Amino acid sequence: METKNLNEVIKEVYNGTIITVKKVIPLDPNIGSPQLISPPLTVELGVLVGFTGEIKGELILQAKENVFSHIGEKMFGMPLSQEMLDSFAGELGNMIAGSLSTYLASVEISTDITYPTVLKGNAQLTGFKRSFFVTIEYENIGKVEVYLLLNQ
Amino acid sequence: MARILVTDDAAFMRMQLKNIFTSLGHEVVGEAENGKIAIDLYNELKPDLVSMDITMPEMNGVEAVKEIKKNDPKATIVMCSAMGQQQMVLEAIQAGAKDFIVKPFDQERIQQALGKILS
Repeated sequence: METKNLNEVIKEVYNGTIITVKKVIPLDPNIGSPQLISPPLTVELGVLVGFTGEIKGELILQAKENVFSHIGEKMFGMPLSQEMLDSFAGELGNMIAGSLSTYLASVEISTDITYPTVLKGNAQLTGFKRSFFVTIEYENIGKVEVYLLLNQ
Repeated sequence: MARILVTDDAAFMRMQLKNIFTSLGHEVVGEAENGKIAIDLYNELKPDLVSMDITMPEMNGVEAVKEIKKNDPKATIVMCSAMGQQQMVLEAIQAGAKDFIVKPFDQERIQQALGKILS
């Protein structure tokens, strides 16, 4: 199998993120262009899922509590309690990262994911080499930011 | 009606699966948050069916399937995971899983899988 260079990998991750988010979240999104950021990344409320294999890094999903709540209600047809909301946020991260990993396998980029960690209270993330993020906006609900932090 | 053990590290997903299984007329007899607990609960409860996530702390779902099948080759296990790539599906089926449901799923997909396995 031919190993893809980093730019090709980043392009596939961006394409895959858009396809995956549209597949997992049953809402019509406006998707922004990818933007670069520098460390540190501060996360008020989000989910972190680690990637291993041909991509080494983390995927972070960040949104306000009411946005996670709206998405959960839309996907599962009922309002979520606070405890279930945290668990749902983790599961949403798992579903998006898992679907992204599945998409990447289809373009011959082999990855595995870790179980999700919910981040709260302005967690600061540093130590990554490069990162980009994309904003996904849902009309009348709010935005979800998807970050990819690469350690390679 | 089947007696079902639900395995997933997310409480939210266990609740969803429990709601679906119950509304389809089955009984959820246990809930496990990782593969190790699933093995212990399987031995204790001897359920008719196990739903098994893959990416979990302590022990992943594929390892748990292998252990459960080692102790009880007749165990009926359905994977329920966000990781749908061919290699992952193949590994789970080779370990002894009867079906592979990719998250997110709906009640129809669960009903279809159970209909096939339990008939």
